[in-house]
Amino acid sequence: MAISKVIIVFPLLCFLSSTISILCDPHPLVCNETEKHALLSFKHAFSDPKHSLSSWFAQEDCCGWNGVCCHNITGRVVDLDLSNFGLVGKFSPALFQLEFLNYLDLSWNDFGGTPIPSFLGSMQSLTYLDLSFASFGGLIPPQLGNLSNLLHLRLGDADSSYKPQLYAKNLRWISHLSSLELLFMYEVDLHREIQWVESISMLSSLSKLLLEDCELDNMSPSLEYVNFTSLTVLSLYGNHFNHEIPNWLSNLTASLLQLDLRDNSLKGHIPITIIELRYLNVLYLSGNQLTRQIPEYLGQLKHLEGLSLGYNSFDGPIPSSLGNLLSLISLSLYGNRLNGTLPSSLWLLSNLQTLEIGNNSLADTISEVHFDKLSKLKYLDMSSTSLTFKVNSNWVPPFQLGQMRMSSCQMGPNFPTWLQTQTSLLYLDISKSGIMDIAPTSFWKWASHLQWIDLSDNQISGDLSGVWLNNILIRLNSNCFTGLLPALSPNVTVLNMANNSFSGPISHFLCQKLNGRSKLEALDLSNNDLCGELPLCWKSLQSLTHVNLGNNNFSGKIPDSIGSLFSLKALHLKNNGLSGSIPSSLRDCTSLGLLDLSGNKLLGNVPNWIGKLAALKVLCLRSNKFIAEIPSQICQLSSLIVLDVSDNGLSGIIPRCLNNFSLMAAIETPDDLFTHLEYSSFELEGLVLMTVGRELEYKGILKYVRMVDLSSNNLSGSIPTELSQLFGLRFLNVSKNHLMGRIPEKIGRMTSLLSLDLSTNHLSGEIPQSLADLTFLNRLNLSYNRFWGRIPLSTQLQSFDAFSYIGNAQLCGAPLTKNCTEDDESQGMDTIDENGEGSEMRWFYISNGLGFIVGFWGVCGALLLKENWRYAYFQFLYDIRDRVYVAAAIRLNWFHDNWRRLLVT
Amino acid sequence: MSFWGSSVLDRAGVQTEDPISEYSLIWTVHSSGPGSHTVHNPPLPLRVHCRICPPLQGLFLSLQMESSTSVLCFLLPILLSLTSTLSTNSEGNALHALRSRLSDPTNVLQSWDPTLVNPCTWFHVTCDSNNRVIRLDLGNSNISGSLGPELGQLQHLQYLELYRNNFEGKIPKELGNLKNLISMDFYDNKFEGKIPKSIAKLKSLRFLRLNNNKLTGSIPRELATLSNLKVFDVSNNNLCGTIPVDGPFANFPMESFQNNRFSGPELQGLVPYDFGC
Repeated sequence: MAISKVIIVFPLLCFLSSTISILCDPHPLVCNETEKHALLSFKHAFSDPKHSLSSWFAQEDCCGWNGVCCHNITGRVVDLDLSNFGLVGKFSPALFQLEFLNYLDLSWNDFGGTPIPSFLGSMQSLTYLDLSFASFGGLIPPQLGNLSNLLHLRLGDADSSYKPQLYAKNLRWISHLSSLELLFMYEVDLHREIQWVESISMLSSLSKLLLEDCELDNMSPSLEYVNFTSLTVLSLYGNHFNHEIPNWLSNLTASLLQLDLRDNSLKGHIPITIIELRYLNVLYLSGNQLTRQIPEYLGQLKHLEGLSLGYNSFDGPIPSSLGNLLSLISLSLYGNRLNGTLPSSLWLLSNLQTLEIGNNSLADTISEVHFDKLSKLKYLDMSSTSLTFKVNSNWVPPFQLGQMRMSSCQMGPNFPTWLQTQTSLLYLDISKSGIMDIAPTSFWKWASHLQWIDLSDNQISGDLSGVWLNNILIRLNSNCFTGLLPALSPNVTVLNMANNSFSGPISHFLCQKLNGRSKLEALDLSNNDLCGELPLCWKSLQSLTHVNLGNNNFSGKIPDSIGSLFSLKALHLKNNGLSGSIPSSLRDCTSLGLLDLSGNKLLGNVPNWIGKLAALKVLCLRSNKFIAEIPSQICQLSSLIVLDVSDNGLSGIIPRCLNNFSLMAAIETPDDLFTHLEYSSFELEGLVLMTVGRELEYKGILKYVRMVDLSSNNLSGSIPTELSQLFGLRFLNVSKNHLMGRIPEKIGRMTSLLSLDLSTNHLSGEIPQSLADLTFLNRLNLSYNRFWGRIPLSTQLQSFDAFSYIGNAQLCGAPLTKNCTEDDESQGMDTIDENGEGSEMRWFYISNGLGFIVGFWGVCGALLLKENWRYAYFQFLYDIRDRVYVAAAIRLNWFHDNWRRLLVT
Repeated sequence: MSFWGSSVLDRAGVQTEDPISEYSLIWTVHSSGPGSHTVHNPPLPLRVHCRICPPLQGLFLSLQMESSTSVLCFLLPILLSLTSTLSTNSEGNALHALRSRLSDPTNVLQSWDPTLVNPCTWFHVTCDSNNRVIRLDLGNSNISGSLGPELGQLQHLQYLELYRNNFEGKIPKELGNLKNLISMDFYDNKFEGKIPKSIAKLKSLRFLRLNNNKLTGSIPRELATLSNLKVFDVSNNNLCGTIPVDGPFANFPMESFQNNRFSGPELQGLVPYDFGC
């Protein structure tokens, strides 16, 4: 049976395969040998990691090769389609030998930034040339202008990191491509070409023109007429046009269907000439600086299906004429300054799938009836408006939404239970919407199919003990939820339940058995009433990057297993009752950028290995029981911007190497400083810091903080002069220690300083004059030290009250009531060396010299002047000499006698 | 690919059909914002509401322990009104309005993030314990631009230090509303116009340094009523008229007035005050 089947099937297969090959190449003729060799050497210039060219063998007919098609009569290669073959390498000139090549598509390969070869311009038979997303670089050869048969030309980048980026000095060569129907350029640098409109406008057959992200500055707004009147698609997305919408667009009356000018800097208003484009069905103008009202006449563009005017500066009301655009599928007015109420005609747009009016000053009350006709609605954004959404909780809407963004839009106070009719919803954001109600248990069951749920900043309550959370992103923070922590599915990636009243332990919550590996990346449970020990199962949570368990009642040790979170970037454990030492396993968390352990009962040394955490930017160990010296290895943390070790038992000196904190030494903040540290723009890292003597929460602007706080320890020695090289430092506090010596003289170079606290130490000397250069200083505390002399004069220094200076008995001048006397002045006359040591040495030498002069001349001067003193003195000296001589002679004799006796015996 | 970049959550994710699919003209365009072409997170809200729930809960608990519900009824409205005033952030709005007028080439104002609950963590802004702005220290910061009436809303401001910059335009008369102001240092700028009379309402003022500007007109006679004024300097301006002699003006040195077009000290009753203007 089996054999007979094979007998039938085999010829069938042969027949099929031969027909297939005939379709492409009906002649038994093999392909041209020259072309085969050309293709083979073209192949050899590539590496082929995807084995896309594995069929390209010398033994095979090249017309059957993958991506190659030959002419059905001549057998010459006419099509070469290697799009997305994954080839990496260079463009071999061998291709030039394919003289009948008509269609060449090399898009989505990697040519490594090499230039487009100019010989392509000689391949006259080309009608289709696609080199887009193929990582070509450098100058586009103007020889391409010789391809007079070309219909389609597509150029652009894939990996723009190759330099130089693909560019053209001008586009004059394009005007020779008289048959061109489509021109697409993406991320080609055309900023040198000012008259590109003039060059391209000659192309009367051009139907689609797309120049996106091409650094163009100018659309020739003064030009009255253009020749490309058959244009149907015009996309100039992402350039830098900063003028008004040009008039020549209205030339395209009969043809233009799609106009995309998004993300430029277009100014002015939408001109009335836009209604000349009467067949337009797509008009995208979002992301510009267009102003004034959205014109009523837009309502005349009856064919519009997509209208996007978001991210501009339109003001006034939404024109009611938009209700005439009955074909409209997508309407975006997001992020303008629109005000007033919504026109009733808006609710007639029965084809609408996307309605995006958020982030405007619109104020209205929206009820169920408004949505009667909007049965196709899938996407609704009314966030950040003053709209009130007033519907019955048992409403059954006519639509099935996919996304709903209603943040900061009044939906409360009742919980919107009607949401549970929306079975296709994936994204729900009803944060800050004034809901003050219990979330019913049925809601959580329904919500398990959502991907993204944000209920934050409401007053929603309910016990979540028995709930199972299954969303990718969950934000329930700042509500009134109670009970034990809910159960989690392994899908949860972001979980923010901070600022609630959850209680109980977290071990069961984090360590429960999951069907699959946990995907949890960001976990914020701060500001709850959680207690017990920290869990030990961190090994099973290795995707975690951001952990915040601060402000709870956790106790016990920080488990060693926390070091298994290799990707950990931020760890907040502040204000708990944690004890023991910092686990040494934490040294393996080399991505750690923020470590906040403040407000616990942690013991032991600040570990030496802390210097290995090279990514560390924020280190807060405040209010613990750390002892011994601050390890000098801490200076290896060159990216540190916040160092807070205050309120511990640290002793020894301040390390002299603190000037290694290069980010604190720099004035500027790199834009990407927190890019790798923060989870997202939604989950910014926040930190409560004692920057100016009281606790302030820094969130969003934490990356600009530069702070060193060593206060309330037992540090001794002097303030190292190196500290004054931290020119970017904004907050410096070394108060309540045992520091001695002077304020570094160059402190005036720390011009970014906002707050300086040196109080309650044993610092001495004069306040350096350079302190007057700190014009940004808004808080200064030098009280309770041993400073003396006059307080330097400056607008800032006298703007502080006396409390900044009290407790220094010898300090004088405003704002203290004690006036300076002559003494204070003369003390101030001496120049002071850095750190005070030099001047102390000088005083030592001066007093030495003075002492010598007084001693020497006191004696010799007297002898010189007084004759009888001189006689007495020299008499005394002779006397002494005689006595010594006699005594010596007697001793010597005695010694000789004894010596002889010893030798005899 | 990270979760944030995944297209599942992109707004495009809910689109079922693509009516005009052509090259890069993507149908769903709402996520396009200026300057970025990648997937957008939802934009940040402009204001973060004050969290009032847990403090309330704490209050409930403490009051329940005292089992005195009448106190609760009494305190609750007060507490609610307090939280509502805290969440308005009018001072932050005023400062943000100021910032929008200014040019800040050295990014001194980069921390002025208007989405924060209050401006107290902004650098160069100092608040008291009730989160009211009491200091604005922007001396020597390369800022240019003009002041606006909004500064008058900082009712608790004590120190307004704007010296050694390139401020221009008039000194707004609304500064007269800053009744707690102790120090107004505008020296070394390009302020022009008159010294507003309203400054005479600032009874706490101790330091008034307007020297090295382009101010014109006369010294408002009413400034002589500022009994706390200790330091006054209007030198190197284009002021005219006579110099008051009474009140604190009896003690100011002549250097405070030099390089102007003053016609001398005021001769009370003899010559009009504005003589020579």
